[in-house]
Amino acid sequence: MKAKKSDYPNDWSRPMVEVERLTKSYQGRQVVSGLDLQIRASELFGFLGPNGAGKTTTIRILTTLSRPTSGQVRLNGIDVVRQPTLAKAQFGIVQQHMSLNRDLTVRENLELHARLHHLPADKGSDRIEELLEYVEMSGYADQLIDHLSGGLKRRTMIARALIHRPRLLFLDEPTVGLDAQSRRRVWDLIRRMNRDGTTVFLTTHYIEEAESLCDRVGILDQGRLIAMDSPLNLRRRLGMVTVEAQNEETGTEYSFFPDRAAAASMWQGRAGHERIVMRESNLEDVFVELTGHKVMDG
Amino acid sequence: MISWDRVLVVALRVVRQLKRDRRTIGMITLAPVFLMVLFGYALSGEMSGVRLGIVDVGADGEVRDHLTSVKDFEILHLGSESDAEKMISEGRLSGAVVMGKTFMRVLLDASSPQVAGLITSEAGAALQKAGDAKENTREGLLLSPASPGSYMEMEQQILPARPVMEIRYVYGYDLEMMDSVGPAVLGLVVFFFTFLMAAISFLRERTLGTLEKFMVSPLTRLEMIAGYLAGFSLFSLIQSATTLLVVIFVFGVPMRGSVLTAFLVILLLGGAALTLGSLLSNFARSEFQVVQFIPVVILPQTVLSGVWWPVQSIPASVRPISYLLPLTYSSDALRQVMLKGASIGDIIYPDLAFLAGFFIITLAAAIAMLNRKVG
Repeated sequence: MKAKKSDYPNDWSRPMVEVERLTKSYQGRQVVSGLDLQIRASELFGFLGPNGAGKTTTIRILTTLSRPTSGQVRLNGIDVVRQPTLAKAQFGIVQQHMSLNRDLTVRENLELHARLHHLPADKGSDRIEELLEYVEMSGYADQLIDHLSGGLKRRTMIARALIHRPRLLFLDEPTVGLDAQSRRRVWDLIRRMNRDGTTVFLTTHYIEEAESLCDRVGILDQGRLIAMDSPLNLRRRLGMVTVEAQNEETGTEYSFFPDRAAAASMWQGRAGHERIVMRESNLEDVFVELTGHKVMDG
Repeated sequence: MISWDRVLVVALRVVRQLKRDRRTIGMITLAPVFLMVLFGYALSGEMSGVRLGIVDVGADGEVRDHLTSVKDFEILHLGSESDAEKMISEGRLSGAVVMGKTFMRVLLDASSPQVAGLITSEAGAALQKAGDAKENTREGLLLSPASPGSYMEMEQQILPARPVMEIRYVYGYDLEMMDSVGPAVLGLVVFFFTFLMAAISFLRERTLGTLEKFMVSPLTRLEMIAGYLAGFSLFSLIQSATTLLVVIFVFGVPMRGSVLTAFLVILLLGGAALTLGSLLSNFARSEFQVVQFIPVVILPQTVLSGVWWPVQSIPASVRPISYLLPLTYSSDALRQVMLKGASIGDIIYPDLAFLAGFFIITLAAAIAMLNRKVG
């Protein structure tokens, strides 16, 4: 599964994804404004942001589906605007929506893309067996897509995205709509791929997903990157302890403290209609604090 | 650089996918046949039960005999011309013939031109027959001078010399309505179904995200559309073949030219329908919207492109539109090949040239639209 060095022309020291001053405007409105981003090879990166922050637009530009208004994007050193075909060979993508051919079987779906990527028939079928085993779907090869559960469909899409051994994988909301069990299996698969050397660029609305999976997360808001660090560092910066003062009339008020002692000294002796909850801060606290609105709000 | 291998991959996928979709297969192969059969019977030109009144005021036997022998007519013998007029205006008769010794008057209900046409032509034929009969009688009498009296009488009865119209069909002398319309309807049916199939399939690719998946693969846009066209042409081929067979064998529409030439015309038309369908699918967001193209794209072609009546009979003010429609050219080409036996060389200009041009322009536009989607 591990990609061989000789498959790729570039040196390993340079970042896998380089975004410089990326801007995209639609009808005079800036959707992405001067975005800078560097993702190291073999990193598991989470790209977060409220709806409409510009995540989808950024991914579309990174995957050659949309052209930037200005700025540069290089994947594994290859410019996506100047060399789109070569750039496409560097990455695989699992889209948010089910994009398999429903009337074909799992194997046929994979075969189709193996041949589009010019894998010879014999090598292609070896590769397909290998991938099916990798995503733990060997028993489903000849099932029609329409007969699969959501989790299996998602795993088929991941296998399809890996067919040409890309070193970079874009996962756009990979667990949306899955039940808890399927979701954990997909998480395990993502971790495994990352351990095997694949750089993962992930977007998600589930903050705990990013927190549990990602080495680093970037938070995008209104087209700008407002934070970029490991989940732990981001929590540290906010304060490792969160106090929720739940008031029936005014709603819940959140305060953040470096540790429990500091939080306790602040809240001790405060009486009133509030119910006080002290807990460890999480990435969602960071996210909400930074973006000023709750995730999933339109 | 086009990779034919990738084109083939896309084509095979289209075939595989459609192969599993039984209902679509049924629609593609059987619906055109059904439609053809329906058109065929409706247009066979056979009429029956046409109610014709006859008012006989001393007519020639020949005339009466001819009219009563036409099997399409249901004859009613009436007492007077006013009775006939009354019954026609009440809709109880399609027409009436008032026959005297020296005249014939035909009363018609003009609301149905076909029926009126049948009655006039049969009445004309009856008169002609009567005239011929008299000529024969005179000759016969001349040869038998044993009865001079009757000869004289006949001589008096001979009508003054009148111009005789002689019609000579240069081609198609034995054609029925279906024969002349059949080749054009064949094109219409193939165009309609191919257009619909292409527009809906492309729309599905876009809404299901498979199109986008193709766009992040090494596949180029030209390869993608070419693959689609190749895959669909297989179905278009089956469709054209079955429809052509129905037209030829079920309805006996003549095939004076080469079947292969006719097939080439249909394939080219099918190609034009495919590219037009894929181009227009860009402007639809749902299958429902694709269906709304039918009155805009298909219906005008059925009336403006000389399928049912010649383009020359279309008012000059809208005729320029006719000359922009692919069906105008396929109708002409198919008639030329099937009825006149034209060869490829005879229909290259303007028919094949236009169809090929239409195909290339819509293909280029469809590819450009795909490019535009990447904004």
